[in-house]
Amino acid sequence: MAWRYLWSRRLVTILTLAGITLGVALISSVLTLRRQSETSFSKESGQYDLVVGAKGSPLQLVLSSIYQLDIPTGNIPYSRYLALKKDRRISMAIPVGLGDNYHGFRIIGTEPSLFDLTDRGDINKKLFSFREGRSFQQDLEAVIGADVARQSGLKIGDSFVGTHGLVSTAGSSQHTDFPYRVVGILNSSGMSTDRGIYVSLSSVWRIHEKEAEIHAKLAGIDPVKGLSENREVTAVLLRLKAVGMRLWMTQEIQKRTESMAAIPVNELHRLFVRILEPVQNALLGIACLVVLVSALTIVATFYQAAERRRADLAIMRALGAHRREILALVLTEALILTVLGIGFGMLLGHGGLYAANQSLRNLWGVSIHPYELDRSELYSLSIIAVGGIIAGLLPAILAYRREPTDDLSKS
Amino acid sequence: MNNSINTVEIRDCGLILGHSGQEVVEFRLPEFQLKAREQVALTGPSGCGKSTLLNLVSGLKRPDAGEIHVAGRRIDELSTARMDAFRGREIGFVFQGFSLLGPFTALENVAIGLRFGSRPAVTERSERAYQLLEKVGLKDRINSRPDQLSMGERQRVAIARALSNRPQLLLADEPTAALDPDTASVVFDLIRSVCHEENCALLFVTHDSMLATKLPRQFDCRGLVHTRKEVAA
Repeated sequence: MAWRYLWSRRLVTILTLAGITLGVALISSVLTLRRQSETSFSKESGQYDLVVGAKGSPLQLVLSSIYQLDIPTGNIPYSRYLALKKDRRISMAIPVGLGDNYHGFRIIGTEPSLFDLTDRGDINKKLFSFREGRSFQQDLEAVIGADVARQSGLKIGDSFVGTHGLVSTAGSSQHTDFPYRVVGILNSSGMSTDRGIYVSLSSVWRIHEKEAEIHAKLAGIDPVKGLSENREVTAVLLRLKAVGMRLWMTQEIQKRTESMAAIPVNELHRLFVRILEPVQNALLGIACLVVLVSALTIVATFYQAAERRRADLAIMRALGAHRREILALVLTEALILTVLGIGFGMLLGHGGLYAANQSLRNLWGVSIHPYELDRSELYSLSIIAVGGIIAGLLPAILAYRREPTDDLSKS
Repeated sequence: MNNSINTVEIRDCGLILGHSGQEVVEFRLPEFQLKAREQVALTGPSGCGKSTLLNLVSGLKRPDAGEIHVAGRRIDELSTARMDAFRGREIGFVFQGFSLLGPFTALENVAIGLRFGSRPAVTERSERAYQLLEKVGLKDRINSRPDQLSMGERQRVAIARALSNRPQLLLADEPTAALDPDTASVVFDLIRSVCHEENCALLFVTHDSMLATKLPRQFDCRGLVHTRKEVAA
């Protein structure tokens, strides 16, 4: 009966349902996004204790060298990497050389030792695993991330040429003289590494030294001298033997060298607390307002509906319906709307995240599992469900308490 | 009192209807009986207490004094929930304004009467509802909603619904008032005949003296509502 009454005023029902659905969708998506982006960012930032790079914004350094977002702060001498590699306090130093891209995917010059890193979340597991092929062993061999393979269609043995710059723009020069050959494809890790193309550092130098040579010749100067001595890297990712040394080493690098060190977990925490959290809280606030307005709409709609069919409810009483059946009827209508609103809202919220997953990976470098529910979302949805019941209770109680005789005379 | 004879028996019934300054408006009925299967017209001008009498007999209002027995039970002592259940089983209603539930078909409207009344199984409800609609000549309109029916058809559905629980008493509150004379006559005859077939007593409120005289007995409600000075406690 409740459903038939809802359907008999379908426009109002659909509009109320849409309000609840939108509010729930916003809450579901914002909570899921917040939780999973934090997890994803933290998982990756926790893999390295320090990032060393050119002086500038520490956050920019972390985003550009680990997450392949943002532009690098500059370069540091290769000799700095060699010095860090020799430092007895450092267990692993991985160089990162950026400069080119392939269809927007960054080409990262590094050492094959990158693929030996273990996952700090599970020391028995390697951070990178190969779906096919092997690590690069010589210049112009490339290992591609899972997203790169999927989106570009590149397979083992395929060749491609890099484009100058970190983003794909029309008119950028291509390094056609130096085609890379795919020798390995990584398994998906859900991290930014899925979007990376890994090559030897010397490949990056070779391509850019050749270009520098051509440019110097055109400019009429002798470029050969000093090129190898002035080789640079964009950043160095460090794992320390003792995590407690992070802050101390950061300060030492700041004071004693021309470069800068950043602690990824600290920078990410700052990013979340200062930028992302306020935005997410604002979105949550808006979502709560939408839900509140929907709840008020339920009160108004059901009050009005109960008023408009006072005669119907009185007839039901005259036919033998108990007061509690009248209460249950009006309350069931509110429950149907609330449950449907929550259901549709969750579908819309999580479905939206599923649809936006690839864009989020490209934009933020985070991989979302759109169908995972967590406690905060379940709590929020429970509160909405209780709110819907309370919103329906008010008109239901009014209908319950009304004496049918007055309304029957109008029927 | 012999309840096997009277479907309705009222004794010394009093109900305060309201206050007007220092005066109390009161409904008083010293005695009233309606025998089993008897058909009685309640007549009298507006405000004389016809509807109040129906509300008291149906248990929708409780008397402040006196006793009301319907179908062998003293209803003025029943709890609200028991009264609702009793009304659903034993009393049928037909109202002036047709009183069908808008979102439901004719068949469903009749079945709803059973749902709140004797509460049989769903299939039994449908079967009984269909039989009744057939009896009132609407078997071809069972799937029509109230807005798709003529006024006469709507009232016929209301009659079928009122009789769905095989009640001992049918209360008809001016059921022909909104109908044209021809349709009113058809509906009146229908109510009488189905009440007779279903062995149901009838209290029929009407302003139409012609219709009233067609019934075996008329009960004039004039004088049931009194005004008296309020007595200080």
